[in-house]
Amino acid sequence: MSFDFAVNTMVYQPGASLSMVEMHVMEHGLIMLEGGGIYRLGDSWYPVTAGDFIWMGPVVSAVVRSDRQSARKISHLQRLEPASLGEPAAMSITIDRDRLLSEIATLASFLTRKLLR
Amino acid sequence: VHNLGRTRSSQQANHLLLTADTFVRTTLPGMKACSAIVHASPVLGAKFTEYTAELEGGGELGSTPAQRFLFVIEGRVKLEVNGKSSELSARGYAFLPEGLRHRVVAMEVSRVAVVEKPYQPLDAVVRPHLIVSNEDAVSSHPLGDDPACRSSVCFPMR
Repeated sequence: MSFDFAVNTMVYQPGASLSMVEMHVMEHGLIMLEGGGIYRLGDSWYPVTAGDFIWMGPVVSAVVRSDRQSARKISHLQRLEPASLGEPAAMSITIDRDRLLSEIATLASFLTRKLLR
Repeated sequence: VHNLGRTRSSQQANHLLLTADTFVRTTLPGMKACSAIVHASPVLGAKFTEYTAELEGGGELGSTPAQRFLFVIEGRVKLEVNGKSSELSARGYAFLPEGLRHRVVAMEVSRVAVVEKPYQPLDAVVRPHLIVSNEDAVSSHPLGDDPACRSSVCFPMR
């Protein structure tokens, strides 16, 4: 094992799809080069088209079906790093409290105006 | 009609979809006549950085301390390594091992997908070598036994 990531391009004929929902610990980066289709990522379905970028984190389920055109994509797979075995996909979310309160206030006033009309 | 706040882009804890309407361009250190749409990076939780570089004719990528993979989406670029230069046109790609000094200069307006990642060395494993090739030069094979899905391996994980 020399490379610590792999790259391949894939071409799907019109209406073709992966035969299984894939789930694996390796993460993916992917660019749709041509065509389009529909992707299941996690529990959601997304229409995708040329120019879109997709990141699939470790252990996200994924399956794809191309639409009436054929689709072509380039993706790379990251080797699991020995040090990261068992490490959860960490992501921190920062919430700006003032911004959140102001968004809620805007939404509340909008709804109030709608309801009172 | 612009639908305020509407997009197909979606950010979730374990996946991300980015669509062209949400792309933001920036200039990365060392870039000349070039901008980058950064798609993924360690701040997202990814172990790699990926961006699309949009180069003007004569535009150039900056250097990187990491290993780098290039895939030309459109246009034509010149890759200079060890005093030798090669031309990459659409579907052309290159793998540049960590620490290999190189230059990537656009010969015309070009878009290049770039992946950068610090190499994870393993004892007794030979480090990967330079690859310069083209998608059309590698043979494709059906995925499983389905001829409707074909995969071309630019380089394998071994």
